[in-house]
Amino acid sequence: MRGFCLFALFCSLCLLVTGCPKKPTLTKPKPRKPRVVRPVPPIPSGPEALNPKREASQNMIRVGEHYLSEGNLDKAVQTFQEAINIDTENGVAYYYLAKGLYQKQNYDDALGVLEKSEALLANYSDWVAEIKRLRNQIQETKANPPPSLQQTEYQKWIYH
Amino acid sequence: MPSRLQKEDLRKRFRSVTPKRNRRRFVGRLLLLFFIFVGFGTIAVGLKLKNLEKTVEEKFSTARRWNIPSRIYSDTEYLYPGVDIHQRALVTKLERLGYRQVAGEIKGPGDFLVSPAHIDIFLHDFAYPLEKFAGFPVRLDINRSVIIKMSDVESGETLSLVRLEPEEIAIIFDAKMEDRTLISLKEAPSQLLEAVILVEDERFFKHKGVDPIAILRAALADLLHLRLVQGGSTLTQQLVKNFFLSPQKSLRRKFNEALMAIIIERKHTKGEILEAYLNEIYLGQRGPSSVTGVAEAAKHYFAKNVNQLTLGESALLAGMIRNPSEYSPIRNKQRAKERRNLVLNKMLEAHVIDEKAYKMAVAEEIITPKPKIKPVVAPYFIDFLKQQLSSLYPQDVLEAEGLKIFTTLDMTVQTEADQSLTQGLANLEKQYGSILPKNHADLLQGCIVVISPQNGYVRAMVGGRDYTASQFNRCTQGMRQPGSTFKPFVYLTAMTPKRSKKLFTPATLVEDKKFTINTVQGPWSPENYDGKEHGTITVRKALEASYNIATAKIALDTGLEEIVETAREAGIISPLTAVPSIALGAFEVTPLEMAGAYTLFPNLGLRAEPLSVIHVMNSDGEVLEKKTLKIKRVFDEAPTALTTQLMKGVLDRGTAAAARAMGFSAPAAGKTGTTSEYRDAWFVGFTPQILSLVWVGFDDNVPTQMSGARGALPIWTSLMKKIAGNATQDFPFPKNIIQVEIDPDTGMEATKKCPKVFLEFFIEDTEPKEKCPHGK
Repeated sequence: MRGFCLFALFCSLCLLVTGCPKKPTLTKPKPRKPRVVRPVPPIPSGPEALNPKREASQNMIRVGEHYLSEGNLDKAVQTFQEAINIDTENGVAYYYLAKGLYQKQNYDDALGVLEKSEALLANYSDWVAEIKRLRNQIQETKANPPPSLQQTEYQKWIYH
Repeated sequence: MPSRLQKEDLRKRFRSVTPKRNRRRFVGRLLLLFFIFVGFGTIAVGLKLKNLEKTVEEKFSTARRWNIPSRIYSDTEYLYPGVDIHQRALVTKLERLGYRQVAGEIKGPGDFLVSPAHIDIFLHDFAYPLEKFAGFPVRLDINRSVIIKMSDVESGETLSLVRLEPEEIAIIFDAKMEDRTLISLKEAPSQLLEAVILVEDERFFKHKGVDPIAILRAALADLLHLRLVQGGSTLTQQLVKNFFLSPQKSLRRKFNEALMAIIIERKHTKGEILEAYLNEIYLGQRGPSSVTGVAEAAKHYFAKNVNQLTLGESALLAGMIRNPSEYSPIRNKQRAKERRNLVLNKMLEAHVIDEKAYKMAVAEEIITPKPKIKPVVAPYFIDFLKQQLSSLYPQDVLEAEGLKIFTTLDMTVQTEADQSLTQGLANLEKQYGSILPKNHADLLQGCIVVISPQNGYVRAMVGGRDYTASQFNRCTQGMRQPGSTFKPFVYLTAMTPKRSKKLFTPATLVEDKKFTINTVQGPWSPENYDGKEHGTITVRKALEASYNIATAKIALDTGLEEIVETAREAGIISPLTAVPSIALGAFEVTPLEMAGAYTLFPNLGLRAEPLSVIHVMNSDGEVLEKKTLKIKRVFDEAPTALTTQLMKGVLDRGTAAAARAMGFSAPAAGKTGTTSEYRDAWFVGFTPQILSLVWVGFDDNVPTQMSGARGALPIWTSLMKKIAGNATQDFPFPKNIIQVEIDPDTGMEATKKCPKVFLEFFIEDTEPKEKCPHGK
């Protein structure tokens, strides 16, 4: 009997000990980041011919490139502008227009048009690099114009 | 008394003595008189001849014998697979371009054929700046009004792009109003030359300016018929009459005409005379201007270049010289046919053509282009253009040098804009007649500007409802208060971290509660149009519902000088003062200025300078003026994209939600504008590709009692449904724009327990950090 009582006491103690609530740990709640959605660009502005309009504009760019390689800058610029007129969201057309304007030594307009190209081609790393290279080139040339554009001392004397 | 004999004797004696001396004297005097007369006559004729010769040489021998009017052209139309020919009103466009609808098959330049499955067009030749285009036949395969394939009919080659030449939208004439296209003798087809000579002056190569045989023959014919049936004037005389003299009939004029014809024949070759004749001859009337010269007539009557005329058409043109209005194929095809056949018969008899050619020409159907219903299109745009050109070219140069001015105008959009304004204003008068002022002297007015925001091309301009009644261009000359259409510039400044004194996001809360501020002009307290206060609201709600009090508070917190700076950078050049009322558009601008400023929104902060002229070319094809795109970054991408998203809400939920109810479903953004006492009603709205502005009001500023949503929005919606359709393309976003779910009432981050959730746009790291209090 005594044995039984001791066993019952032991069990009650065990129950008492295990039944105690655990001391709460004081940890700061983790800040939950809001559910962020990144809006998808509505239409790619790269060279891929995703619709006939873009294809027509790309073909026009190819014609313009031909003029550019021939040194027919006026015609090239006109053709690139037409490519933009066909598809105003073709970032490549703006890039080539900037290139044509740069070659025509129209630096400010070229930089402005290049901005547009950059905005449209932001998701195309190759093009972004190409745009950066052209921008540096334009800025460099603008800062140090080729000798033909610099006035000689004689010209300065004549004009002033 | 002397006897009879004595008298006889006296007479004889008198005769024999006195007359001998007197007669000699008399004859001498007579001779002297004669020589004096002859001498003076010779001098007078000599002087007259000298004078005439001088006149002839001065006018005829100069390189430019005629004033050639300058022509203004619209932009080129581009066709490619995917273009909806109904939306672009292709058939109407072809008719406006002078193409002739034919049945069966297209045979030559200017023909087009419409069938259910395809449209065949034989393109015109056209001299573009820096390029001469030679027309060829193309086929457009159509499926449910959409072009699915394009090919060259001759080679079968598939084409990715087809250009339709620009439309002639205006001609700048001198006082004579003569429409003329110059050609050289080489350009004129030989059959036309033969026909003209045969009909008008058979002995052209035989006479020296005046043909006595022809005069005699004409006189005989007239006598025989007892009326004037035949003229005896040579081709040279006709040229003299048209070129130098007045059309009045008098002997003096006839005499001068003959003398001048002889002078011209002495000084110039037959070829030069014939070339001048072909360019000078009057061949009909087109509205107030005359169709002069065979080249212009070929365009007018057959929509062809002169070198493309068939034998039948050449014969008809030659036959029309006698009476252009009677034999005009546009007015009376049957009479024109009879006249043509008569000329052809004459050509056959004179062995100029053979039997086979004759038969073919007689069998030819006379096809003329559809006459233009409205001879003057886009008159307000033309005035605006002339004003711009006047700084580059004086009026006399524009009237005489034959310049070709290529513009950015899209004729399809212009036509739609014209119709939308006229119809829209009429609808408003009908629908809101009860609230419009009674017995107002002037009609309700309006204006529309349409711009392609990406490149700045001005696509359409309607400066008023009726140009004939009022030439005042409300788009470019009308200075009006923009009202709430200016608010987006306030919000753009407020959401630009670099510029605003206090940064706002679309979810920032503002108080829409009345307040008063002391200004230089005295205390100022803005009020909402509904006269109510709306408590604490988000920035988005303030713009979507166009609350004035909340906007004024945002403006004051943002900085008024900063807002002026934003407006300036956006391209507003009208005077602006940094006063609180600027936030509500209490200053004056032109609608064109406002439309230009709005281009930075769909362009993500880049401003494309509005362009209306692209090229100016002289009559030799040399390009005098080239305009390239002028694009400049004036704002960061992210705040511009946010403002655009807020303006999208204006259409989807806000003051312009009626546009959606009217069936316009394309992704678009915009802002309504109403000025105090409802004097001006505005709406400026845009899709990613096209921007249009509508203003409605009275010229004398009398209140219309119409808000922007009521007055301008229905016109804008009707226009955009036609020109933008129900496109699905949405606005672009820069990389640092994110979307976060928020509670629209508190502007805080939404939790699952929030009753309302809205997916809001933020510049990264400006999103709300606190959760909404609901359910706490």
